[in-house]
Amino acid sequence: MATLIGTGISTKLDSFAAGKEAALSAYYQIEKNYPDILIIFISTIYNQHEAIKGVRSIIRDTPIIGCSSIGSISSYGSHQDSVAVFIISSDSISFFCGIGDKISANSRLAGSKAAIKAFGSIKKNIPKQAYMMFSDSASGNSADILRGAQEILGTCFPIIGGGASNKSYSAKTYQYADNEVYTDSVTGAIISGTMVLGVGQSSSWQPIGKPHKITKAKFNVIKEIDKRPAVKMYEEYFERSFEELKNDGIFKLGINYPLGVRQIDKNREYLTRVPLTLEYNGSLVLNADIREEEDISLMISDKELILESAKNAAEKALKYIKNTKIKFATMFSDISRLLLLRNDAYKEVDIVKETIGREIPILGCYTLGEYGLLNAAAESAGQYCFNNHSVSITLFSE
Amino acid sequence: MYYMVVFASVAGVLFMLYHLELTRRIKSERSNKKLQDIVDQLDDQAKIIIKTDLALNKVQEDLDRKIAGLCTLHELSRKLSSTFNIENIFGMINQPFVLKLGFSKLLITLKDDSTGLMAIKSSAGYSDAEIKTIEAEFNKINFASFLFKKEKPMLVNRLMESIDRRWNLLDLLKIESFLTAPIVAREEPIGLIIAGNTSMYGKIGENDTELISILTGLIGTAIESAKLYTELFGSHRELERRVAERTKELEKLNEELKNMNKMKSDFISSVSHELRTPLTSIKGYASILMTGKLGDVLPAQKERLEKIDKHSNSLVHLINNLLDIARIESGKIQMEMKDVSIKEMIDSTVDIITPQVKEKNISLKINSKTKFDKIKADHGQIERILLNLLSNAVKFTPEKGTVSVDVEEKDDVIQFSIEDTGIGIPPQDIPKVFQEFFRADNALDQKIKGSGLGLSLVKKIVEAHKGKIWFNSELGKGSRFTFTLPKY
Repeated sequence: MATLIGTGISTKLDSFAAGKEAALSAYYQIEKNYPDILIIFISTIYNQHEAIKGVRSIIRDTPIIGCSSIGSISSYGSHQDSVAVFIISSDSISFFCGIGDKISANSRLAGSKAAIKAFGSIKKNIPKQAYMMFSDSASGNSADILRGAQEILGTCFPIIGGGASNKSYSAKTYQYADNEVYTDSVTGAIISGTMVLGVGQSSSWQPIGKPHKITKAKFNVIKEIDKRPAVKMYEEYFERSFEELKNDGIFKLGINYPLGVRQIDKNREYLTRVPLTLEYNGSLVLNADIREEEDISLMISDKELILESAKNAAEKALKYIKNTKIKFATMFSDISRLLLLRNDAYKEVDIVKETIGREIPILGCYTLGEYGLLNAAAESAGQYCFNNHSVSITLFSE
Repeated sequence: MYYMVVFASVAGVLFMLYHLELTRRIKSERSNKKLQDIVDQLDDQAKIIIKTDLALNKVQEDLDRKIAGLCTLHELSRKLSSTFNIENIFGMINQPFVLKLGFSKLLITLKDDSTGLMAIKSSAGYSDAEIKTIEAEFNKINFASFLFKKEKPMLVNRLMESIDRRWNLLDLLKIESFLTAPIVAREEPIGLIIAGNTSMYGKIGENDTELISILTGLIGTAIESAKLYTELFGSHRELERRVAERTKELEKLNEELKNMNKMKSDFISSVSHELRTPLTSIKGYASILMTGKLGDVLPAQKERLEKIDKHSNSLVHLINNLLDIARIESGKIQMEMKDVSIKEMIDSTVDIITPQVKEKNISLKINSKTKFDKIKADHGQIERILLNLLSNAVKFTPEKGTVSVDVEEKDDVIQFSIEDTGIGIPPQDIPKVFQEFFRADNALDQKIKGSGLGLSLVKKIVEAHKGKIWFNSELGKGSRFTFTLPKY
């Protein structure tokens, strides 16, 4: 049997029916073999519980992992406002799930709790290969969540996945573990078995305008840039008042125009951070932490750069796969890329398929921030990190 | 002196070095300033690029939103066309639909025909408790009557103080802005739609009015269609019920008629039998008297006896015809189907009629175009038909007229036509020609004797052979009677 991947996508405008249709479609594709895990991505236009119930009406007891997303990525392309169900059925790969809650209170602890649960349920003597996790991107510090998981798994252990997203961007997001729908949580699954992994990540956002210095910051909050309230940078570049930024939501601007922290390799890859909210004193609250005295720039991108970076990420991942047969691939692309590509979003999936092989099943979604291996060539080579605006591709081969 | 020279030289060198350093610094500062100016200029250009990029993104976003909204409405329209159930219509306006359309909250209220109150039929983004509160408040403030006067969607936000302050709708609906429009069906406002967004979602603007106009139009049309369908379905059901009822009545009447017809046939049959017996006696006794065996018969008496005999024969003929009609109707007479020759039948009939033809100097033409001479029929009955139609033609054709008999093949039938140049049948009598005892209302007809049973009997015999009979007639010009018989 080896490994079978079932993909079901539904855009029916009925939550239960969409979940059921997607699950049924995926189940037929694994030829009704025993499903080992269900990876689910549901748009927030759906009632999350109803959609999960729809899935469960077809497949009862198999573990579920996944998150809300504005769109799914699969071999069929990019689908916004959809329910996507991916089933993996394999006699060589096993999955062990965990969940950590209250990330807004302590992101690191939540990340570590989920990893402990997943790691704790793993059978000994089975090689652990990767950890796939989905976290609430609207609350907490995603870099801290990663650090929490790395405390258990190690900094070089492959961690993939990303932040759950909502159609309204700043509204709450959902994470799934078994039959429950969580928020303010992180859900993860350890993927084990005998396999070879190829991981590649690339961002395409480039600096625009002059560099600025973070003069005051703490964890994920930038208080001052160039010794002025951090918000001034956005006020000046976008000619918006504090109130406008507050009301319109700096988040909406930050998705397309994030802050680039530093060049982390020779391929002009920047670590980017998205301002989630604005504090009354003008501080920017980011979705991951940042260091004082860093040089930062406002970042911008375009469709060509995005497509180029998708190809780069796929090529980086392919370098690890030598003379092995790729069974499936995961692809997590930042929502900012979808917002920029718009109707051309299919091109990003297509370019990846073109690079890794059109017959390889792809499963993934649009995330708000991605976990992956961005800086393979930098001083922190081999360390997994949290980045925004990137596409993270992982190839699983036997 | 030496020291002074050395000191002066050192001072000179130091001054020169200082001067050089000062010059270098000034140059460097100038260069840095120039560089800073370039960076600042580039930064200003970056701001312009960002501004342009932002504007382009905004246009693209609006366009995408509109396209996505129109696609969603198109999908709804397709689904609405497949239902005539009002509850199903509202079921389609669910949370995924509303969010896909680009709104986070939506309410559809309809006016209850009996109470006149507004009732929320569909909602997205509200809890049951919130719906109850909003419904009660809507009926209290009578927002619907205000809106029903509007023809176009209305945008309400915090800036429109007059409306918001009057009813405090934004707080009631827990949204930052909303669009509202009446739902119109059969040119009457029957309800309203409210679609809005919380602050988390995008702002609602004039751009969205088109979507709401289309949505209200779709819902109005769907409700109108559903109501029409319900009415039509009701009418159809009522019509079906009435038709079934009437069919039942007709079936009952038909049954009664059949029974009555049978009773009539039975009555005629028994009466005819009862009449024929004494008639046979009358005829017999008249014949005996005429022979003179019972005494001499005076010429005047003989004349009277001959009349008795003649009228008795007519009466017997009439009774026989009546009996035959009754028997055919009741199925008591079975046609004796045998292979018969068409030519022989026509010849034999012509032989019988020839004396009358000659007497009136009528030209009788026989045109037979059949390759097929044999048909399956009851020889005696077919001769009866031919004789009846021919004798009628001769009877009603004035002297020196023409009577023709045409026989031809038509698909699976043999068609016989008997045409005359006689008096014709008045148009008002045409529908009654095959009725029993009917005689046309014209002077000549009254003079010519007959029972009015002949054509009725002919029709019954033709139909008993699974054939058809019809005629064409023009008053004063003549008639053409045609009948068909199956070939096999």
